[in-house]
Amino acid sequence: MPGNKIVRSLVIIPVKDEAAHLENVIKEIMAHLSVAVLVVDDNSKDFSAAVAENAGAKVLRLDITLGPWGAIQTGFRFALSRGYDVAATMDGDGQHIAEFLPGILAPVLAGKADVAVGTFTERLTAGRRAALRIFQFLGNLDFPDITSGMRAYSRKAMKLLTTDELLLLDYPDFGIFTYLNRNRLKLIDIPVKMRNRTMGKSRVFRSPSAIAMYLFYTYLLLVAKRR
Amino acid sequence: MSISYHIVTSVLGFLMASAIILLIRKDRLHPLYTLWWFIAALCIGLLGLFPSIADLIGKKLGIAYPPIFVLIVANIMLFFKILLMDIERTENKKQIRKLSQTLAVLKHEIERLRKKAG
Repeated sequence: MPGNKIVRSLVIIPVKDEAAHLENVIKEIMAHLSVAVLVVDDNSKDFSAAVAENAGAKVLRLDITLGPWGAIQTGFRFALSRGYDVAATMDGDGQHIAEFLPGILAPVLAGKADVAVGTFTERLTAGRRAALRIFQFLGNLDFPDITSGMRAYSRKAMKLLTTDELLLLDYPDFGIFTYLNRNRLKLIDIPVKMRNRTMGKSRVFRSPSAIAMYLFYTYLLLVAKRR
Repeated sequence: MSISYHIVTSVLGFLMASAIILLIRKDRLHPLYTLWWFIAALCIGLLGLFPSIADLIGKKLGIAYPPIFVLIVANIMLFFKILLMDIERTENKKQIRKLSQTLAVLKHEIERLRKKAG
């Protein structure tokens, strides 16, 4: 039958030492939809890669620590080279609920958006929300939950986001969204629900100095890249 | 006193200049950097041989204590040198990240093909 191309989706999970939760996360995704799962092991010191393989996921092993964004970019390169049409990203700590994945993938698969972000503002503290609002104003963005890692990307978005320019990015939020906006890609947000982190803390906001670093970095980035 | 000081600066200048030339000769210094260091070697050598150059220029510029002029120029040169180094390090960082990413994808591909070949 003409025009009946099979659409292939990939779920990318950037992981650094998440052996404790990874199996459940992968199994939960596979239980909710038939997708390929790719775990990008960001030079973990624990058995995350082995756990992922046993759970049935494909695994890419990084030899050096690149951070979440570097790991996601690696996942994009894999998705592009293996011909996937859409790639979703999810965290490996169990915070994201796989049940909402189809809702995030759908608009991108239907061509209605290049990037869909699952937003859940209730998880953000008042302080974080205020800081994000300031940055949104600076970066001329209007996004409710910009730090959410639960997203879906089209091939077009993936190709754009693997350019050399974005290799320097340390955090996968503001830099990406301003870049996508500049290239006139369509971004939408889909309300979802998320769990509280059962164990461990956010990598980005792990300490006051880490938070200060993030604020400084993001501020500098937004001011420097202002049009 | 000024004669022995002259000898000291000359020897020092000559040694530093020679060290730089040697490194260039032995390929321990990337050709792109050699221009900067060659100029540096030249300046050091010249100043070593004729320390009074600093006095001459300093007085012309109205600097009360001419040796400070040498330090100021050296500082400015080092500032730019370090800045250029950071710029290059940034470029290296990008290259390393990109290579790491493609390497990971390739490793997976090799493993997949190996399994396929049996």
